[in-house]
Amino acid sequence: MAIPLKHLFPLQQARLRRLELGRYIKFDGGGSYVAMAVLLALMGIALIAQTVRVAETGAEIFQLQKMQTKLTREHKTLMARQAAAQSMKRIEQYAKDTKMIPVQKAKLQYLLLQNDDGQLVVQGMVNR
Amino acid sequence: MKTPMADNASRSIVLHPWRLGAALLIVLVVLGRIALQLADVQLLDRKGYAQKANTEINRSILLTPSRGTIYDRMGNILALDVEEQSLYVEPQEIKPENAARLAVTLGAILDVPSEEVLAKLLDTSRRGVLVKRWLKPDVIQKITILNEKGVYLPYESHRAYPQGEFAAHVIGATNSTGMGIAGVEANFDDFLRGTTGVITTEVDGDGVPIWSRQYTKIAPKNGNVLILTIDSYIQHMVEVALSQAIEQHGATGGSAIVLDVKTGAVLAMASYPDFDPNNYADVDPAVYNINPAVGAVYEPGSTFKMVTVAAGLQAKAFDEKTQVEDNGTIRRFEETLANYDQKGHGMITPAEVLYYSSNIGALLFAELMGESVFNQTIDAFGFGKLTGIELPGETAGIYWKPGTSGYTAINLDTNSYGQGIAVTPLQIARMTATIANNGVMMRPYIIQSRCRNGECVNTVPREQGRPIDADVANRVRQMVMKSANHYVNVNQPDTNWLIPGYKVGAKTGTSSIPGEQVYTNQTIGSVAGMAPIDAPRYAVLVKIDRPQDDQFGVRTALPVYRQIMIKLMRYDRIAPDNALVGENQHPGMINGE
Repeated sequence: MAIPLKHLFPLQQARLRRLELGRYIKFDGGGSYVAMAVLLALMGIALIAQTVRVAETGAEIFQLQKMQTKLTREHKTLMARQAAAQSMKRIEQYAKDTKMIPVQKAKLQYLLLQNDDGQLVVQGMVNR
Repeated sequence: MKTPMADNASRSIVLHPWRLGAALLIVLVVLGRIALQLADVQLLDRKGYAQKANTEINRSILLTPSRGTIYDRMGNILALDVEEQSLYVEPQEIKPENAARLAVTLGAILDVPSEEVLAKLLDTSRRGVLVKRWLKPDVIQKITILNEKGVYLPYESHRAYPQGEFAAHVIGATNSTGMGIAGVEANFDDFLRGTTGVITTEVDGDGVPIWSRQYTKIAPKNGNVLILTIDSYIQHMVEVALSQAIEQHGATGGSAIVLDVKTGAVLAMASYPDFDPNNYADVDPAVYNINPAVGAVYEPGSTFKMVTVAAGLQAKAFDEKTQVEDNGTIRRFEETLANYDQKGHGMITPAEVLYYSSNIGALLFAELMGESVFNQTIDAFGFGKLTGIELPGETAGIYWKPGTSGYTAINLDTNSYGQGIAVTPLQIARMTATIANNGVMMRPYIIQSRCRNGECVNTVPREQGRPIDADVANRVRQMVMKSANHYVNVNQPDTNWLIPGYKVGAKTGTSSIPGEQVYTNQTIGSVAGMAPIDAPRYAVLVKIDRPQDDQFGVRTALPVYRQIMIKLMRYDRIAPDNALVGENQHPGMINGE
């Protein structure tokens, strides 16, 4: 049985179609409407993009504010812990825990430094 | 033959007009209802709906300010605001069948009776029920792991006192609403508090602000900062010495104050019983409401003899060589007045009045100068008046001036040795500092700087008068130095120094506590003094209330005073003088160290 063969897209036909295309884009006076529609579409896209950007920025601000709040909280908590750690009571306890010894008799010496005029300029204490 | 399918297909659908009319009517009714609703929403109740929408979308969120931080003079934090999580429950969101189990679990974690928690979980009439405030991180972790519906852990601002009881009576406390209720916190509440801000904006379904929308914001103004004159080292050292003595003597309380004599700055102020400002509600309100160092009065006893001697020397009613006869007892206005042991010391000078703490000597010298001169000096030293320190609850004391209803002629005699007059510990400390500061009386102050927006204004020390001349002050100091040294060894007076290596002044006092009619057998032992005598830097007062094992201040308060003074000398790196040392004494050391 013979099978009819036909070129599906002969080059010649394709060329003709391409030449006819100009006809479709001749708007016959309606070109300005199309341009306006395209412009509006572009503006719409720009608006959507802007809105998305603003929303993203808003979300980013929110996240940053959350982070700021968290960091502020942590900062204050650390300040409170630092203050507790620096309390004299705690320092005294550290000193005892690390076996530091208090000032003892006959080991305490004072350093008296005088300037050329004989005035006392520095007083220090040494626990030998 | 026709198949059933073909039969059905051939059957025509008959659309009766009434059916069409009915359908149209239904559509019209529905459309009409919608139109009515639209008219209601858009026209009739437009404002109401707009308001409802605004309420839902627009929110005013309060921005809580942070209360100002309180520092000591070295920049250590004494009080600050922190945010900690609290446990709230929403009873509507909790299934009743789960409530009992949840209550037991939460009760165990929070250390709260589970019945109490259960009552809150089942109270559906309320929303956002507080279970417990300001939880510790380990507790938060345990509750978070439960992952229970209806359980919330929002952050809440909270005043924290990282050093606990440290200087509690000075710093004070704030209540759960953040209002200062004691100490500096109360006195400077407005200064520390700050102002609340507000942000008005659109929020999403979760109540989170939509930042891309327009919003108005009034920023919160954080509270201002206070820097106290308290020196942490001195304060701690004073607190330790005082608390040990109170425990040792079974005393009911006590106070100690260290003043910088040149400025009047309070370097330490401690009182017992004390409290932890973080948990102030755990103690009797009387404990945190009154700072005994400024708000409680007592009869100063023999420490007041410094005023008597200074007054007479200032008025030139007598000098150092003037003598009066101390027989141990004396009759005045049909009353017998006596020394503490009723023993006399013969002819004694003003210095010996202080040395032997002679009531009769003080009385006789007061009579020499007369009530006018004596009372003028008491007045000039500021007794019976507020010192002006920036602490709440300060009392002026009780001092009856001649001509007032409480004054009788015997007041001159009894006041001369510190009875019949009530003073605050701070007033005695200020009087001692005045003698130390060559007669210049400085206003005691506790606030070193007030800081707003990073700019700090320092308190300028303020003179409050000159009740005595520098020369008189110096002579009184020499007298109290001798008085101090004889306490070390009363059997061999003048052979030792109270603090070896240093010239230190001290005058003890023991006063009986008055009852409703007569004096009780309870006493208050106290010491007031200054050092170094030739160029004083510190004035110290120590007071021990109702010691149970020993009545006398010389044995209860004086050891505390010595401990404080020796440590002050070391802390200030004042070198001891090797010449000022007695037998078996070591410069810069006190026995028992």
